Amino acid sequence: MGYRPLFDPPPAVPAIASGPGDRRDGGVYAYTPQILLAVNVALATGRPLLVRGPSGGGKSSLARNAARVLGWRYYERVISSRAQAQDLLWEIDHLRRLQDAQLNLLRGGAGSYVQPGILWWAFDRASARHQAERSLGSDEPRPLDPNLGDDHPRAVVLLDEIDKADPDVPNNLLVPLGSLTFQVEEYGKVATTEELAPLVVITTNDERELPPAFLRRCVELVIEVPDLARLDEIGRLHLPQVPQRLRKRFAELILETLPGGAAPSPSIAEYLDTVKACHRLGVEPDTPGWADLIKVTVWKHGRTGKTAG
Amino acid sequence: MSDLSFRSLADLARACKTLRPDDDITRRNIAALLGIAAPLDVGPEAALQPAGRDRHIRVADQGRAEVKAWEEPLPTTPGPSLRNAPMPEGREIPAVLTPDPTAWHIPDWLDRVLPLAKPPAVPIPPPLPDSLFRPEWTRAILSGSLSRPGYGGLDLDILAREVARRQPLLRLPRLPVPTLVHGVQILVDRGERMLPFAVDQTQLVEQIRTVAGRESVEVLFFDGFPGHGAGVGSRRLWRPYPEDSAPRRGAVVAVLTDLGAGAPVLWSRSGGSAEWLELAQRLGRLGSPLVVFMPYRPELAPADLRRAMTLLHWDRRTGAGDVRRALGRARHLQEAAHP
Repeated sequence: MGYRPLFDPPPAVPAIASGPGDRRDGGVYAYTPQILLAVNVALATGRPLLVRGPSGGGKSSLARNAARVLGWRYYERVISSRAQAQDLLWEIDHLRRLQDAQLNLLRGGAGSYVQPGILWWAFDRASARHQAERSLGSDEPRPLDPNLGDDHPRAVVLLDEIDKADPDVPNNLLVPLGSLTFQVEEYGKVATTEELAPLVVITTNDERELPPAFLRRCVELVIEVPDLARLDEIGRLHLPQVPQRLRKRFAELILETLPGGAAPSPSIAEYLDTVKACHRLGVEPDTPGWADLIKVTVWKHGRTGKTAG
Repeated sequence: MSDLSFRSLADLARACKTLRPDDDITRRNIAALLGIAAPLDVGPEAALQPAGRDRHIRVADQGRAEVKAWEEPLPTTPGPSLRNAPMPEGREIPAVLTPDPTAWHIPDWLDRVLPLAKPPAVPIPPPLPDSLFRPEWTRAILSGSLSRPGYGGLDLDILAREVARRQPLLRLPRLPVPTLVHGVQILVDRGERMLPFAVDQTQLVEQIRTVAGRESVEVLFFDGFPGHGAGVGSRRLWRPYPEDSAPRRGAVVAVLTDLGAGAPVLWSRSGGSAEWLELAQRLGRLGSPLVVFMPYRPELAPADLRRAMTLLHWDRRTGAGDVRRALGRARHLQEAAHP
């Protein structure tokens, strides 16, 4: 029973230390069988993995951790409302070209000012590096590959919060992501092979609909609101220094939030923040500081629960 | 067939060839990830483990040991089975069916069902009806339709191109940044045709306040057509619009109305096309574009109104893309009308 996995991470080891804010380094990740299967299907088909789910639920850190497990390069881009699909492929440094023209130092046509975007780096590192060097002047420092992961021929790419982008952006990514090739003006074709195809992870909070044609080309994973056992496991991996009874108490507290209200359910990130704050501040359950602490960390945005004040 | 054609069967074949799932549940879940089939409703840990791993179903909060999944088959007999009673000799009577008590099967999950929670001490108000827009898209729809172009940073690409071409810069190119800073004036139609949507109107007003900021939103009410009078409080206090309640300069005017497209009522004060057109033009001169949220398809509105203002279908199927198309169409038509 089961399947032959392409992606099979070893059992997660609890984190040694926890940093401030959201953990985006992908150091630890609590996989479920469904998440594992989704990553495997994305790798097997060469399709982007579209990850849906509430914010703070571990969508973005999945990509970073997958890159760590695979030992691949890692590129990420948080999409904003002004992002364009072309920014992910390539950009032309018009300002530098103008400056060079003013100083009579033009290095050729516009092709000399094309800078590779993260999908170019992920598809074909050699040509991206060549182009990046070509677009830099001789007096400038060497180009930096925006890789945040290991040194490997293949890469994991995170396109975070694609629902923030203009509705045209997903459509404009159809060809690059579907056929693993794109055309660069003033340069030519950039392509990758099936053996070197990147794993592209795209996250959405579902604030905007995505075009059907785009959805058709994605493997879709929905990260559900966790249950008690999963929250406890996540707490154990991220905050092993915190006593289990405290983690469990907070997990129960988070899960008792009444659904159906206008306020969103607490996220995994809020759970971890609450446990961390409680532990570091030395607040014990059912002490005077306890109620105040959970008020500012859990019972916010008008949330209600059995123990809400 | 539409579901099957929605995603590529080739992807399914490729995934199955590479991952070699050896049971139907895993195959079904792979198909679900590709959008071809609905996921099988079984505990996810029951089947999706990679081969070679021990597979368990964890029973939470029951103090039970882990149970091997394959040791607990699904019930095959959902209810009491019936069997024929023996036929008495020498008599012709119809077969009597009696239930076989040994065939009763109580599913194992039944004893894991938790009792319903006690009702809270403070009664919870009943939930509001679903909003007409999809809740998760509402913010994007409202911010997209009610924002106006603001001044962003310099558009360096255009600036460099113009200077390189030695073109005089008559105005600094700016990046378009949509903003809600100009505010929103909401006109709520309280006419009889819109009575079925009264709760939805209240909800949408609250949602606009949440998106645009409470202090930037002004709400007025009218009956059928705002030109006949608009205001707050008693209808007797309503004043001519827009003369007495003009929107702040640059504010978007959002109108929650059916433009008279709803079911006919005995007494209607809906304005005609000409009146709405004139209102849109007057507001346009004040620098305030008109955006109409219609609970019916905009195609039901008169054609000349569709050309003069932005009409949005206030409906679940409307998304940010529809907003963009509606705004673009209205802008295009207005530019064509006033080149």
